[in-house]
Amino acid sequence: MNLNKLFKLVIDLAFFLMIPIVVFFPGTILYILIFPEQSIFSVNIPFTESGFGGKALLFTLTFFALFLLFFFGFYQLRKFAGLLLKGKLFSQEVVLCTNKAGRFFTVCALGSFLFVGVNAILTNSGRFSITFGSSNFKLLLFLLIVGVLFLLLSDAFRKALALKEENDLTV
Amino acid sequence: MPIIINLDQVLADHNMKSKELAEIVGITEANLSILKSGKAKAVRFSTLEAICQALDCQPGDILAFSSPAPSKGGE
Repeated sequence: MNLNKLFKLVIDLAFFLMIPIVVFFPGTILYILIFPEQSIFSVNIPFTESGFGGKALLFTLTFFALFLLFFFGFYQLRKFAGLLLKGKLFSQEVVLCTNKAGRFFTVCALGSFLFVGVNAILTNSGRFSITFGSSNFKLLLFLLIVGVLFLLLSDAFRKALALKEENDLTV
Repeated sequence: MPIIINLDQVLADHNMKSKELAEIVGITEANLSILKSGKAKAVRFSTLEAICQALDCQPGDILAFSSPAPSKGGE
């Protein structure tokens, strides 16, 4: 199995594992809101007698919105893997896919940093928690690096495409 | 593009067809067509040399420079 196939396979696997979250999350949240005392799902949203807290719900929805950004980025990555498999490495589509993936990942990472920061201020009395090992912070930093890397890759592909066109038009 | 390709004219003067020239020079007809239509971004010296040899002419007979008309904006 060559690397292109392995890349596409791994991305496909991750992508299809994400689809149920995207599809079922809104319905599940609605179900939990209508029936807060249900026993099917175990949720980590604080529940009070008057229902779910507004802030908690807002955070949950923000988290989902950020996840959607990550999912869209991954969708672009999947398209990119498909183009690699077809051998269309130097094409306008690859430039667009990598650019979009980079933008989605970068915005998702920056949004998540903001989300984690605000969450820490509201829940930990203004103190940030430090985790040793691979913390959420480091993973988000890695996502930001990946996002910026994809933007750089997109620029590199754009330049490579221009060079290829010039080479093709050299007689 | 300010560089004009007069290959059609030189070919007509020598009573030669594009297909023949492409065969002699060793390039494809598609590439010769790119050159003739002015879409080419660069010409290799080896190609130019082969064309000049096949048509018994100078590079200046094939290529000409025409300064572009100034734009209306004055820039």
